[in-house]
Amino acid sequence: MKNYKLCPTDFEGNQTYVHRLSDGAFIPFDNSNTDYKEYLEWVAEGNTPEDADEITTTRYPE
Amino acid sequence: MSVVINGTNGVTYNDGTIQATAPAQKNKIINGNFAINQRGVSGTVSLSAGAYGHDRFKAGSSGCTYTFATSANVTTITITAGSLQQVIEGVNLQSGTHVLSWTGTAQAKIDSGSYADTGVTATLTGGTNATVEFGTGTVTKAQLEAGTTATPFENLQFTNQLQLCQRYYYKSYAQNSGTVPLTSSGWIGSRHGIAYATNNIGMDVRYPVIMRASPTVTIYHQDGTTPNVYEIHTGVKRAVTGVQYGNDSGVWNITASVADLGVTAHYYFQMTAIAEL
Repeated sequence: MKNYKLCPTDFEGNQTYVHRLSDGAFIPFDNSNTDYKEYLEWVAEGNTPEDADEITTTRYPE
Repeated sequence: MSVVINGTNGVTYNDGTIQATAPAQKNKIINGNFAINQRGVSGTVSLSAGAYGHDRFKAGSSGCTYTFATSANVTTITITAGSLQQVIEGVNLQSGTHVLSWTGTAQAKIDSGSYADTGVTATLTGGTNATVEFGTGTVTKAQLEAGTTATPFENLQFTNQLQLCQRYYYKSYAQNSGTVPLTSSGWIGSRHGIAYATNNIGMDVRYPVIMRASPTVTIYHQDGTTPNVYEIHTGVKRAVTGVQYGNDSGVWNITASVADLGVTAHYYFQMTAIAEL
């Protein structure tokens, strides 16, 4: 069972957060964040997160 | 009262205690008197390894069970099983000998040292995290300070201590509520966002203090479910699919499951942000 799911990328296409499915938390891609370190260990064990939902980003008219 | 000021030893008070360093902010332990309890633990607190109870304190590798009581504004922890530890951030430490003191029957250790009664010393390295850990017994007024002589516990103003804790843990809801308040007024104190593009909700969440790192963010609907937000004009719960922009000072953009949220639809949500060590 996959424990993580990637979040949609930011507007520049950068992957900035991953979703921890067990508790709904969003973990930033920050090397100082202990949850992110755990995520990297999980990936290093050969696991792969679920793909992010595909979304559209069309700005509403002002 | 006689006070001896000596350039080598510092200040000697008439009770024989020596103040070797400036007394302000001398305590490297945050919340050493267990006054801050943002997670709202109560009763018999049973923590799995690494889980947090009172602010800045987490269970050791065997978990921790403890109770606590407050009398005359002094909170005393009684650890009945396992251990309770605090990791002290290296940016607040300078190289040299440090002494760990506390009031109570528990024994404690610093890093890989041995458990002993109050007055434990260790040589720490500036910039490197250190861990203090308490075994079974009672403990309050825990203090780690530079030098070899323990001095009286430093009582900080409540707000100062809360802010020190908020570098590691922040919640949007009231301090007297350990979880999102599940009442009809559960939205009070919530953060606020506005849909400005399909799938996107913009917001301006600023943490009260800069956090240790970009924190792990949990977003709650006012019914306590996560990750959801409350759409104000429809009363509908919307699922959050991600955070896009955030750092150690706040969060600015999240994504939602519904493509067309609607022009300028408004949202309430509660949240926690955690950057513990």
